[in-house]
Amino acid sequence: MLTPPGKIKILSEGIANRIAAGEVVERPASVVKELIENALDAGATEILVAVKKAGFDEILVTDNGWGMDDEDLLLAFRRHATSKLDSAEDLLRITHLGFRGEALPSVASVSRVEVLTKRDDRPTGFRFKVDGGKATGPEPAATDRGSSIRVRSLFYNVPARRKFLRTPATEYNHIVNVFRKYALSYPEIKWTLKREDDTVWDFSSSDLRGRIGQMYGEGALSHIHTVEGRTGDMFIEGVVGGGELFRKSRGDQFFFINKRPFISSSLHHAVINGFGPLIHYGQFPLYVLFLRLDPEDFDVNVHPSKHEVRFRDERQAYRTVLHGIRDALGNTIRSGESPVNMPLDKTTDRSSHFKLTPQPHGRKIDGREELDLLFGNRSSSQSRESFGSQTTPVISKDYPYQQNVPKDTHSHSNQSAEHPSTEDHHDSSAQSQSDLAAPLAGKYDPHGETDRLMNSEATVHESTSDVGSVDSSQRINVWQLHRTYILSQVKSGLVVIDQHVAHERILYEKAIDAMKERPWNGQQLLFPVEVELTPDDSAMLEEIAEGLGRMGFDVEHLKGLTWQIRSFPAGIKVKNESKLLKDILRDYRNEHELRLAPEEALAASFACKAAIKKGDPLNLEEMNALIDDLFLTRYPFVCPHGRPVVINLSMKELNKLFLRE
Amino acid sequence: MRFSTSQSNFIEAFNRIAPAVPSKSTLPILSNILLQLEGNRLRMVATDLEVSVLTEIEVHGQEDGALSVPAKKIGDISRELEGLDLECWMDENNHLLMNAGAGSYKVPGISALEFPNLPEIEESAKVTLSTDKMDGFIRRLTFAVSKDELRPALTGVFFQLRPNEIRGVATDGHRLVRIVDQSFQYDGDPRELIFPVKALEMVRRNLPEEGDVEINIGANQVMIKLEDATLFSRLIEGKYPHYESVIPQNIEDRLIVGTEDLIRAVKRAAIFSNPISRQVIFKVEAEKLEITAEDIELGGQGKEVIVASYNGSPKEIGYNANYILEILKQIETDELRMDVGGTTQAAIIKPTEPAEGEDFLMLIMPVRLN
Repeated sequence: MLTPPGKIKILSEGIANRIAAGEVVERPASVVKELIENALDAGATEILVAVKKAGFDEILVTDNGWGMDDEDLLLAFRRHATSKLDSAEDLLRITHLGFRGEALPSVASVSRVEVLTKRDDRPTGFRFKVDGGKATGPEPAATDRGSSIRVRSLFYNVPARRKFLRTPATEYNHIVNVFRKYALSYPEIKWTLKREDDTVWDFSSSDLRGRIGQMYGEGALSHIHTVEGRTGDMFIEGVVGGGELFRKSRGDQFFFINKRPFISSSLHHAVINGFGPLIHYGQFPLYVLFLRLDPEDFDVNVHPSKHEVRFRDERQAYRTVLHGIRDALGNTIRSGESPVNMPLDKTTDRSSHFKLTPQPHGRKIDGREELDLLFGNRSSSQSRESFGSQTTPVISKDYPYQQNVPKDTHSHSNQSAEHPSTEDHHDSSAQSQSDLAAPLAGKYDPHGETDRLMNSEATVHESTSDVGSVDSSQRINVWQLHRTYILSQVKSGLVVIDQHVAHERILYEKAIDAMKERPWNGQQLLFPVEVELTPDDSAMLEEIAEGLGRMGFDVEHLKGLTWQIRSFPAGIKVKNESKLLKDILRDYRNEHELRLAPEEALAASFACKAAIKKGDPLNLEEMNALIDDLFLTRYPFVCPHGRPVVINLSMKELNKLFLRE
Repeated sequence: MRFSTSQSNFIEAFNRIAPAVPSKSTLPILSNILLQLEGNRLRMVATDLEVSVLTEIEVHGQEDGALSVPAKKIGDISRELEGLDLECWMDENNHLLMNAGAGSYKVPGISALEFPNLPEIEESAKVTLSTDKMDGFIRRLTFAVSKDELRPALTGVFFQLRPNEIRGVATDGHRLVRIVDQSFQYDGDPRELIFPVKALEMVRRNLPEEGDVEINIGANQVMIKLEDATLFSRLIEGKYPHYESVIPQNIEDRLIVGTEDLIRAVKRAAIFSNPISRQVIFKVEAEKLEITAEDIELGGQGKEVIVASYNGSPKEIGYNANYILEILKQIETDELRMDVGGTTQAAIIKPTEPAEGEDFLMLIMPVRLN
């Protein structure tokens, strides 16, 4: 990706015009950014950034890259000189960071710049100065390989610009943010940040986890989940932080595309959506996510400061992020690696944290036990103790660098990333979650099903147990509410489970499992059911018959558009096999467009259609079985469409509602 | 309307018809029962429009009349008046007034004119069954009917009347029960009827200790006369599946096993089955039956071995434990016979000694083990 040195050219008018015009240098941080990108483009493996008075007095960026010779220098300081673009076609394939060729001349026009640089293949280096547009040099000078660019008295000749700048603390914070982005994006590079000659950070060459450890403290690593995935030709990798690393404000959210930082409200939304009810409104998870995509499939040229990216397929990007996050969290939650913030508990103390104990092979905790574990009445001190070993105090309080930075400045740093829809989130997390799920859910309408309970009597339905059922005397604290929700008392208060989405989550994972590992057994029918399909459905069924077979559906093509169902997944209460099959086919068509893999689409369609519905009465045994099975799933808190499954109302919240002290 | 009677007389009659009152209805009048006095005969009727029950008692009548009253209210108050005599009358505002002991009560009713009429049966056939037989049919058939409202035929019990033979069949598509009784007197035309389960359950509830039950069959209604009550029921329309074709004919592998042993073993093993699939595996070989269950996710395992007689080749077949237990509970003999077919074939379960003149068999479809 890096171009050899000495190829600085003048862009043609055409290219220059195609690049959106705009101020490159808005504030000290933009200078830092441009200089860092130059250093990266020069193939540096060590980069030093030193600022004085938040960059107003001096910004120095030193690298050990290829350097420049006298000719390069002259070209570099002419507007639209860039070594990176040859033609308009090249613009479509931008993989470089500072392609605009505007940076150095723009910086030089509003400051006093001094460059000291030496190319490897030249015996001497050069010094070059520009002072308010007037150049001195290049003249030979003794220096090491690489470039060192010093920018002094920024905006000294633009008093109007100076007026728009914020306090030095804010501007410094912007610089820190720029530095962090690149330090995260290039962990293999040795980075140093100095402020007024004090070393703030000194990061040795590492990998991403290592860099996060350097930046956030080693304790953070135990709350980090690795993200890895792909959708078609789009790859995602990186890390996302669990509950301990949730923030109350933005600032630790990083997106990169082909290593270029960008901000995206819709992808941020995808991350939050991926967390589902594990996170609630007003919390911001830490994430560092790298997308990799063919440069032709996205456009960075939306804004001259290159913060935003337009994707050819926005939905693909959204899905990639969403599923990347879900998979990462799902894996972790089930494997019990790390604590995650308890869903929907708005109390701010940390008594709400839970940790799933890693379970010995072949033995899983039963659902009620698990509920108690999750929502159990652990005291704050206990849970602090239990997590203390994994958490360094510096992480749980503030960012390491924050002692240098006034708190309020955080909110400005990423203001443009504010997503409009997050503004009008309701207080109820359940509501906000279903809003969040909307873009993914598409046509999915969970409440569209006919409400068979026309009269809304507020009876709490408690049924008796079934024939041959296991003894359930010890678990009587389960009720069905309006044939829609399962209520259960847990130590900390009340847990409410949506019966349909809970079952949907269970069936989804079973179906996935059936297709990938253990085929599902099929309850055979005494009277095989014949189904007449439409030509579309029949063709689609041919495609998915094998997958359905592994899920326990034995379907056979008889003739023409007639199919026969001989068995269906054992244990599923199927009222009408042919209707279920048709519903699955119809739903599969929609899901297929939204999901990554056909198996996932099939599993989601099956789960949605075969799951018990709102309005289905459940007896005690069935409710307990549902809870047990729910907590055997990898990701019990979110249904395959992103809706919450479990909501906890703590005694604290209830007491508050009843104005009880 | 004005009458007096003892509480016990009244509540007994009430209890016969009360189960027909629908627990939920969009028609308020159906929550009521009809009281109709003619001379000393008090007639009480409850209906959900599909099944209606009528009973009559002797009271001391003073003034004829009729009124419909809320079933729950009238039942609740009558139950609490044990040992007392009730005096009931209605006023011009359709209130039922009741005096009993030191209490007096007023229940708002609805005009009897609004209460649905009982269906009229144009009798086309009449059959008589002994109480025992009727009970045996209902008891062993109703558990197996389907709850799928989209296939109404399967939600009822299918009766076939043939010369000197009556057959009762029920199936939900996974198991099937068939009872053929040839000790039955019938000389009419062959008939096929599908009875709603609710009607049969109401019949069973009101079956007398002994005697006969008379069934009058109309075009789409039946009237069943019991000793103390008369029941009217709509018949389910639709075509019953051709069940005979799914009964395997030539299964030679036969297992004989103690009924109670098997029930207990399945119950115990099922505790370790997956709570959703409830799957148990029957492994049959010479002289023994092994029943295993395993919940792969929860990790539990159960295994039971029963001594049994078996003449076929060793096999392993999966069943839903709930289905099989419901079937086993219908067997009244000490031992039962299970004809074990292939893994995609229904197994036949029967008592070892059928009752005289009766052929009773049950089918269960296995779970296909992937």
